[in-house]
Amino acid sequence: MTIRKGFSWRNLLPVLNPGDNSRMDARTLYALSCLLVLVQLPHTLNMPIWVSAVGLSMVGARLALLKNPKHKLLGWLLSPASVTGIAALSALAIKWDYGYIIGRDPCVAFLFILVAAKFAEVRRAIDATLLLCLCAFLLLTQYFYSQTIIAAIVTLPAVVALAYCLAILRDAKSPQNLIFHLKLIGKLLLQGLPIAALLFFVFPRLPGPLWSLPDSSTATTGLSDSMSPGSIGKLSQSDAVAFRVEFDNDTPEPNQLYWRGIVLSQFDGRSWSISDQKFHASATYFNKVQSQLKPSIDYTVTLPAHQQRWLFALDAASSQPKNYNASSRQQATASSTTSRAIGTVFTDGQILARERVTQPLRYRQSSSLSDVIPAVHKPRADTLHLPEKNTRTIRFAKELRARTSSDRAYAKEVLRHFNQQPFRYTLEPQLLGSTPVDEFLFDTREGFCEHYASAFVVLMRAVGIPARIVTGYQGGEINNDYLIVRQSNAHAWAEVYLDGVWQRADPTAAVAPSRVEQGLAAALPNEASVPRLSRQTPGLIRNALLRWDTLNYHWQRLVIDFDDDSQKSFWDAIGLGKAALWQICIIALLITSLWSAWVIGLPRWQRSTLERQERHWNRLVKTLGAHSLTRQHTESAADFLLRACEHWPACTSQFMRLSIAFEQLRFQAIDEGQQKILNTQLLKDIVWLQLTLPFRRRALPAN
Amino acid sequence: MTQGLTHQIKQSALWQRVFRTRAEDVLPHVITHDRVYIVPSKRGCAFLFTLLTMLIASVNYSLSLGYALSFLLTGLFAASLLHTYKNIAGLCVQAIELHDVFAGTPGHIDVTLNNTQQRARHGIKISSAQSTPPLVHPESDSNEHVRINTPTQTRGIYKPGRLTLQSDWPIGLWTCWTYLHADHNAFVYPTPEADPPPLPTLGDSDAKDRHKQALAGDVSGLRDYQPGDSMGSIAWKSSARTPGLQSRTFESETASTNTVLSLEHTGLTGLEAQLSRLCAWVLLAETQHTDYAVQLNTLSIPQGRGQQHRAHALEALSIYGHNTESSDTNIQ
Repeated sequence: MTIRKGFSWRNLLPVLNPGDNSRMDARTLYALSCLLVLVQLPHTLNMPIWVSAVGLSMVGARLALLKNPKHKLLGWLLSPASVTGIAALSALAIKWDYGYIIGRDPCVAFLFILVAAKFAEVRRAIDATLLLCLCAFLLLTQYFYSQTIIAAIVTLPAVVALAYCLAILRDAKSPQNLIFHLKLIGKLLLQGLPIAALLFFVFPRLPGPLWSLPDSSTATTGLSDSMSPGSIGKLSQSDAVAFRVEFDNDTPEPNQLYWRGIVLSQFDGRSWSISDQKFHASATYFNKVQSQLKPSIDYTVTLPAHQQRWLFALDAASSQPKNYNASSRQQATASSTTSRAIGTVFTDGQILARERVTQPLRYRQSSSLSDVIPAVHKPRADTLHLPEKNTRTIRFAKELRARTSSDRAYAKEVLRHFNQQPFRYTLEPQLLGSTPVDEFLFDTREGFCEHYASAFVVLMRAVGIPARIVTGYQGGEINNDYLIVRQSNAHAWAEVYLDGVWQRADPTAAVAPSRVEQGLAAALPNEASVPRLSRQTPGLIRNALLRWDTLNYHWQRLVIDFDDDSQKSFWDAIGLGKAALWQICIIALLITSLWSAWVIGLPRWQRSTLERQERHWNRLVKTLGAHSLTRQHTESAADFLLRACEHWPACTSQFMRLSIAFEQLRFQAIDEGQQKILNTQLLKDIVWLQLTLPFRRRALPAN
Repeated sequence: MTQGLTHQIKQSALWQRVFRTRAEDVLPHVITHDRVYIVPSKRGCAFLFTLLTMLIASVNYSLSLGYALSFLLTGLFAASLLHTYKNIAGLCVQAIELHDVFAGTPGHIDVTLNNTQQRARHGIKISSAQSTPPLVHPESDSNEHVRINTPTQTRGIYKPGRLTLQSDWPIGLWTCWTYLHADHNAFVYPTPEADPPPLPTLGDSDAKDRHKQALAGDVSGLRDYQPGDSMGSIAWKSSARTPGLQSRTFESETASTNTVLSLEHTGLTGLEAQLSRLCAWVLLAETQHTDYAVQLNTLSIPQGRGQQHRAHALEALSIYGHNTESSDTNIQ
């Protein structure tokens, strides 16, 4: 045989699904439009209105054209050329609206337009592939803006629509209806769920971004670079997570957990703002911190993207913040100022990152637990500056100072004043006018931490003691092995320059000690503005809200904040904390195989289509076959059983009964009840034979 | 040297296992798991690429829900893989039937699929290498007959070669296929000449008269119907009176003839043209109910007529000049 000519791979391989060049049918178009609207709707909350309008109207126009294919204007408007034009114009408009185009938000907006434009000009069935892929990606981009439970629920119908579109695109002429397809898709999605869950838990979470695109500064809750009466109180009403901390060793006492954020020293009589002059902390600073010989602790902070530069550390920071991966849990040395540092400590104790935190950030930090910040240089003038506004306060301060012996004693006296006078700690203080400190100290006497801190600093500066405000977070909620610090932990305290160091003074602790020791809820048991999660008063609606919040909280904790840490603790929890990669792979493979067996269905699990008596008959034939009595193909049931009687004369009665029963079931018109009885009797006899035949004597040798 | 190696590779068991180039399958054939190939379809590849992009975006922006969505779609992708497999595995190809045809007319491959399992199968396409549009297999939960049309160009033995059964059920992200290569063949007769001259009659120059006589078709009597008798020859009226069918016998039939069809009698030069004319004559003789013999070089078919005789003669014409080896050039 000779080698054939004209051999080609084309002939060896099958022709698989040649592209479907036919026009798209109405059903597919409606399904696609449904998908598109489902994908677009969540985005309308984040897009400029005109973008949503353009996107949705293009979908509408396409459907209108489908209804009325002869419409000239629509036909012209939705021709590929003019749709491209619309998309290009939209791109320009997006550039004009956002101010830039290479960025996350403008890109999402452009994708939004692009998907709609693609749909508007879609004519052939094969174009749908690109459309579906774009839709899937657009579906994901809504999570840039919101990852709540609602957002997740809203995604589900879109996923179903996506799968439905895939199903009907497979064969546009398939006769199955919507219900059939929905059932099919539901089945597929449910069966895919274990794999999704497995991947969600096993897939390695890579910390940090692979690249970063400029972001629009979306306002997020958190501290800002200024503080006026009420700003912290407002913040405290949010349950949002500020950051999370894992301590290498034990968690410090709650009253030691002062998370320094921003140092505010400029005062205009009403609000406080950040100093415009800042100096990098040198090695001297760190040496001074360490020379205090306070216990030093190491920890890892996980900071969500808060769009600001500040990082948080316990007082007093004894190292530069380092990237979590780079430091790899090594002891962060105090004086090292290597390039691995992701931020800088300043002489006032504040830490700033190199750039704005636009991605969740994880950093290593060490601190000496101390309420003293070393002063590298003399306090600058702005820590003494006081506008001539709160005159009553200044007068009161001077009187009080005159009565005390030293600056330190004076500071203590002021704290005692807050403690003993009827000051009230509340989230809902009365509004203050143009001289807020005066009004607070002598009239309303109720306020939140910023009121106390600000009054304290003013009282200090009034008698020439340098003082400043520090905002940050105080406390935190211990959750298994880590600490969650929420916005409701936001706090403001004061620092005074005494004996050459900056000494922390927290007037809030003097008014409401429970705030510092047990948190906000303990200090404010009956206030409505306390975040719902902290409230404990009963009530049906409140209870429901509380449950919803709990759900959200767990959602946030378990799903949204599920990162490499959570993954590690998850592995630890199921006892595989030390598992190597290959072990995890084997486990994953095992689960996948079990899953496949479940989806495909093992042959044993598949129900036979045979009638009951047929199965019984097969069983009997098999049983007798095992005893070397094989049934001939041409042999009838009666003949075969007669032969069996000859082999085992002792069982003649059973065989005869079986023979009659089989014939009755097969050939006689009998009702269902009787069939059941006969079948039961059959089964009984067969089982009896199966059990006893091995011990029966045979009349004839096997043939 | 390389040719020898290529040949050896093609003869190897692995080659056969992967590509099924030799007809070794026996019917009925149950499609087992080791015979099913599954690859992502074009749309599946695009989908996979999208999933990857989504995953990268989720990593970059640390979107937990992004991961969840990507993995949910991955789960869908994975589940559809198994369903694609389930749809085709276990299906039984009960029979393949081929019909002899004349070259130039479409040939048919009739495939009978038998679904022994409870669940229905969907969207299975069966195609042979030459078949033009593969046919969509409809729903089935029992026996299902599929007819594949294949063009035939030259006379000879027609082998449909390897059949491909494929499906992209349920959502078109995966394509699975299986090969079936059973040794079935049919004859492709030469294309009959469009307007043939009358039958030649050996030793009788007055062929024209005979022809006319035959057309006149004087009924000479009745006899019992035999398979192969044309519909036109059945005597319906008398059949109604008797239990079986009755066929009319014609004048010409009874007359003893010695029509011998051979290449020389065609008076043409080209072999294909000669065979084409012979083919037309066989058909003509059959319609005229004339006995005929076929003489092709060494092969000779004695006088006779009827369905079997006709088939015999046409088969001889279709393979004339082909040796057995070159006859399987159609195998892909």
